[in-house]
Amino acid sequence: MFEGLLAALTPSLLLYLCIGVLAGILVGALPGFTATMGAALMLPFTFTLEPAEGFAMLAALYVATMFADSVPACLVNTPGTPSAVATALDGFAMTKQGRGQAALIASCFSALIGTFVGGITFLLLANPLTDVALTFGPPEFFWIGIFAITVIGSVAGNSLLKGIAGGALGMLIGAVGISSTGAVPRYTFGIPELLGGISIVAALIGIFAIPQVIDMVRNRHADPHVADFTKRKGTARETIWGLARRPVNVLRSSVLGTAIGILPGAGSPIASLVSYNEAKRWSKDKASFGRGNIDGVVASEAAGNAAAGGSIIPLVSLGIPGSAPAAVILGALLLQGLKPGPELFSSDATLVYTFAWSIILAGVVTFVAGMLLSGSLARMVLIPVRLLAPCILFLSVIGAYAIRNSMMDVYLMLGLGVAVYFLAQLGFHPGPIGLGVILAPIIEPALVESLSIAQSSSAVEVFFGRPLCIALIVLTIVSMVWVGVTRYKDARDARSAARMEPPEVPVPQADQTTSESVGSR
Amino acid sequence: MKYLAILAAGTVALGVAACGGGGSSPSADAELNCRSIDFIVPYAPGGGSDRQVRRMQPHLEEALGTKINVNYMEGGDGAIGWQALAGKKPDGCTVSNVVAPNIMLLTSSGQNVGFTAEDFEYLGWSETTPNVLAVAADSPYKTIDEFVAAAKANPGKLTVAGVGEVGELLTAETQNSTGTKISYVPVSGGVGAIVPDILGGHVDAGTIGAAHVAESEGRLRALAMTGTEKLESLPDVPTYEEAGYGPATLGTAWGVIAPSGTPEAIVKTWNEAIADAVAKEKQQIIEAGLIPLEQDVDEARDYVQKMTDALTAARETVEN
Repeated sequence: MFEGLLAALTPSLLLYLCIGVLAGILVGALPGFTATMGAALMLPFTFTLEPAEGFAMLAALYVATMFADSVPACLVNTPGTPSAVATALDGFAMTKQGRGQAALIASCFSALIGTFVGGITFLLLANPLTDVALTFGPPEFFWIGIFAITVIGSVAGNSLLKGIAGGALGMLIGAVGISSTGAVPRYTFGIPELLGGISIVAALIGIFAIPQVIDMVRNRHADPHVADFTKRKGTARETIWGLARRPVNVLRSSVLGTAIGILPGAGSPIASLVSYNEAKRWSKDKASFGRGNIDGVVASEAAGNAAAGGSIIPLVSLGIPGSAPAAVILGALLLQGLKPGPELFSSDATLVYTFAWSIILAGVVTFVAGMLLSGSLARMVLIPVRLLAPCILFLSVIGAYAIRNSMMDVYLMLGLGVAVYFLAQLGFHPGPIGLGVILAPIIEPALVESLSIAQSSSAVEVFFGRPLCIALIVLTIVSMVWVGVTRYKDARDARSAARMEPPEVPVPQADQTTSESVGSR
Repeated sequence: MKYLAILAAGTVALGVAACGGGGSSPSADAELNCRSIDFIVPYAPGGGSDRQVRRMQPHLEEALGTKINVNYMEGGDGAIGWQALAGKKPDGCTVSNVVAPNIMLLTSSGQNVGFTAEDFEYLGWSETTPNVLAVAADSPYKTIDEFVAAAKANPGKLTVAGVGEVGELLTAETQNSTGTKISYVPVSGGVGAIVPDILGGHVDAGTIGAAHVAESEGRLRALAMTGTEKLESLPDVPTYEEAGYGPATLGTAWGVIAPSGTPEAIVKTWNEAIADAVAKEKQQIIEAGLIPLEQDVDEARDYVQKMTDALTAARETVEN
């Protein structure tokens, strides 16, 4: 194990690691560019490298992207990749309160811890955990997806009903294109370009970035900047000290993220959403989630990063990638002539340990880079909206196009964005819509596969007869009940608070006084 | 204003970067006059098509004297990438990976996909693999006969996973060849999603390319193979016919295509470059569990017909 660490600490490997981190920060910070894309772009450069160096570079890019996607999420409410959707909820609220730098610091600190937990798990528990991961089949993934839907309860804003409707809309958007079994085109209206559906990344840019841009532009006179920010010495120290003193959240999120990352196909987006939900559930200050609670940022980012480390585990121990970027890394390893699997562990254990240490080191480098950049990045919010908004729009268009060189993705992104803007005016929060888009490609194939498997026994047995499924169903029911109870209590508390205090009255104009309309004690 | 300058610089830099790292190296070949080559891969990075292209990339760049940019255009089971190719100029500067019989399946499905399989110039096929019926190494079925016996004793109870329309056809072929009734489980997300299902025991078997079994180093066992050729990397696996069952012919092949109307001279240049790449990567291709193909231009064209015929034959046996 320690030869692996020594091998990882060679200057050339560290050099490639740092290059990977820098590339990852760039990729993550630009909305529309995903870790998968970045890894694919970097792939040819790894051919001339040693396997360990090539892996280090790609893993570093993956880890750094998972951190950097929180930058646009926190600063301009636009997730840099789908894994940052939950981060934007509290991160942007923090920025509006002038705490943007603290949000970014929390994010890179969570990246450090999350990656560390993921990497250590890889080092110590790779093989037994992979066996556990294999017991998750299509029915289990179906129920995980349903459980993830209950996250809507946390991100829906004021109206749960509108949240559910938004989630359903998101899933419908995800259904466009050829069905998961490859046979039937849906909602393509005969247009061949729609056969590929709407790319998730383009959809998320549309759902989050475009309404934000429209909002910024409409309010540009009232709010010439996104938020205020003054750099204060000691922000970094305070933030980290504050987080280090309450380790439960970050550790729980990291463990959860690693666990979800190990399941092939789940990945960072699911990990960060579920972790955010759990952080809110166990928090003593639930109401502040979505309004700038730093724990929300920590939960989402720690899990997202831990999932990156977690998804490498089945990659190396089974040759099955746990996520899309891991699939690219698998391709890189195969092209180098390596065959991931138990044989690799026995024939070249040092190399495998070097992989694990590379992940941990990537977390450290990302943390340092994040700390150094947090101040300057946070100052981005001081750029006047009339310059920032067009920039974001420009990057969104390029990002949507870059996914597969398709103008159709750009048009869909813009159309979706305008539609979601109007929906937001009607009280539909974009969060659940984004959630639906992310979950549709997980839930539907799992459902179809499970039903097909049920041909050999019965649907009841497949969906309700497996122990893991039952556990997940119980979790889902508990989650739903919890959502219902909390909302009922919040509504009841809000009503009694309204009875006890006068509501805030607007500044009286002329001879208008409104206080007599309030029943005061 | 400071911010304006920074923003402007940043945006310009991004714009330049986004225009792609277009190679400025002059083309050494008189016939191929491209600033850079746009190589479309209509599937996700990390998959079989990606690996085919990446394996050939350095050799193609050398032979053609031009830099290659790989462009992933995933979606619609290949439709998005091939649609895009159909609209490009036939100057040999934009090509795409092609997978058979997938492209033929798409165009014969009756829906408008924006192109037909005949709309392209086939520059060459690089590798092929038969499809196998694979089970987990710890499965109770050690030979194809045991599997068939179990399937016959429990019609409809054994589950076999496959990918997309090809998977459905492959499983149907298997049933036809062995005279059994099996439940088909469609899996999305490529073979990467099938393997955990097999290993975890969620399905009894899967119909996948032989290459994936060869790669799996003993975690998967192939019971029988389609086609008539033996595979070096899986010497103990019989073909369906060898094992005494009816014929099963569907294999998978990877190649390169260009828009129709590409001049013959350019087609020939590409064909030679591909053959060169395959020759240089022969050992790696074989170790990956694939069969390398070396064909001239006419052979490449004939191969298209061969795959189309195999597809038709498979469909007919299945429907009868």
